[in-house]
Amino acid sequence: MDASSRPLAAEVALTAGREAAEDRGAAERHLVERHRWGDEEAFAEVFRSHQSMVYNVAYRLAGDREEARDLAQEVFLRVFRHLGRFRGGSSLKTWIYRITVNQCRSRLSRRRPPVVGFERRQGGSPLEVADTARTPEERALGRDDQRRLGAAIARVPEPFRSALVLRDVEGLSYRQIGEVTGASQGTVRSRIARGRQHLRRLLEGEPW
Amino acid sequence: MTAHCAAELLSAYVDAELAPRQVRRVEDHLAVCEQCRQEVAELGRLVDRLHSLERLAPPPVLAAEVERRVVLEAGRDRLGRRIDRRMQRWSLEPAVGLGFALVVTFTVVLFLFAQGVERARDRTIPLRFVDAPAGEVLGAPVGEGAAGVREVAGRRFTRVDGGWRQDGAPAGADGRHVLLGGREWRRLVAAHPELAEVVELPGRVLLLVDGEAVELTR
Repeated sequence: MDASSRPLAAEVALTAGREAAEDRGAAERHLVERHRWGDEEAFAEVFRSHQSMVYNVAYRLAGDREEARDLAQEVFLRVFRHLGRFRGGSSLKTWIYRITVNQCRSRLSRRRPPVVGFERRQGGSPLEVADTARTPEERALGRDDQRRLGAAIARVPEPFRSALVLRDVEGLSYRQIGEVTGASQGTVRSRIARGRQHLRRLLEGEPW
Repeated sequence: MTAHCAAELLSAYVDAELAPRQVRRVEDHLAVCEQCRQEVAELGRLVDRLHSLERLAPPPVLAAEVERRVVLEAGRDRLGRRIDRRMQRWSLEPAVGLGFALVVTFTVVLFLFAQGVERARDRTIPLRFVDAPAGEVLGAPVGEGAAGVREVAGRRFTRVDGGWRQDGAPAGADGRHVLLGGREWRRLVAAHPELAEVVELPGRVLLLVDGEAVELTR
């Protein structure tokens, strides 16, 4: 679609989005420049803005809070080391997502798959997925369900797990996931679909 | 579309990540396929469930741990940068190092040369004879009394014009000179240690050594 055929509202939204991205890019460049000049507050700002995201991604990929804490430390140490060389090819957030996913993959590939909290219940039914009777409020999961769902995610094999987490937990678009993982959008689409299949089978208690 | 939609296509449809043309095709199929409609519904519920996963607050200790590690890292970094800078200084400015090495070499060479000159001069000043008529070299005594007479090394010296003369020594030294502090003087003192005290006498000294008149010159 060329600019002339684009509706005015879409054009305005696109321009606004572009301007916001430029503003964000300028702010991030300034932040990086401050870090290069030894301003300790610059890294502290990066940490404050991204600690929740890093910790949650690490937790969803590792399935363990202690592991997630260690991973988050490693991620921020890498961010600190390399922030001065950040060239702004992507947004700072995408860059930090990339470090987080790579760090998690690298570390978690060296350990055995987690088995905590997701044993099929003896004689029980598989974990329920469909629950059409619930209202959206009721659909909010209880703590036990959350724990089991988290444990199931942690058992989805890579690279489907990171695609699933980035999409369904973090809410990134396919394009953003492609930037984070370095995969094409077609690959991202395939990984997400397969990740969901894995997860459904795990939740249904089917042998894998 | 008669066959069922691929899981990948339905997954992307749920995510609204299909191109408009693909969306139309999927929706046309869903309109006639109960199984795919069910698949989409289940996928939607799974996605809803995943979206509702609570976000955990990072543990408060994380900030302190990261800060501790970053401070350590920064310290190592500063040390590393200092080392780098020093290495760069030496590697990027070899002229400085070369110049320093040349100065040291030049100083050592100069010192050795000076030592060599000193030794050579000692060698070139042997006991030598000069034409000095008796009585004229040191002149006449300048006075009698304590101020003009000194006992050194068991020898009695009388003050004369320009130095001291051992009693009994002839007025002239028969031209025989020894440079005080020189090589011949060291040889003389080695043979007659008591003569080391003679150096206290200022000016030229005329004395008898083994019955021979010798003039010590500073």
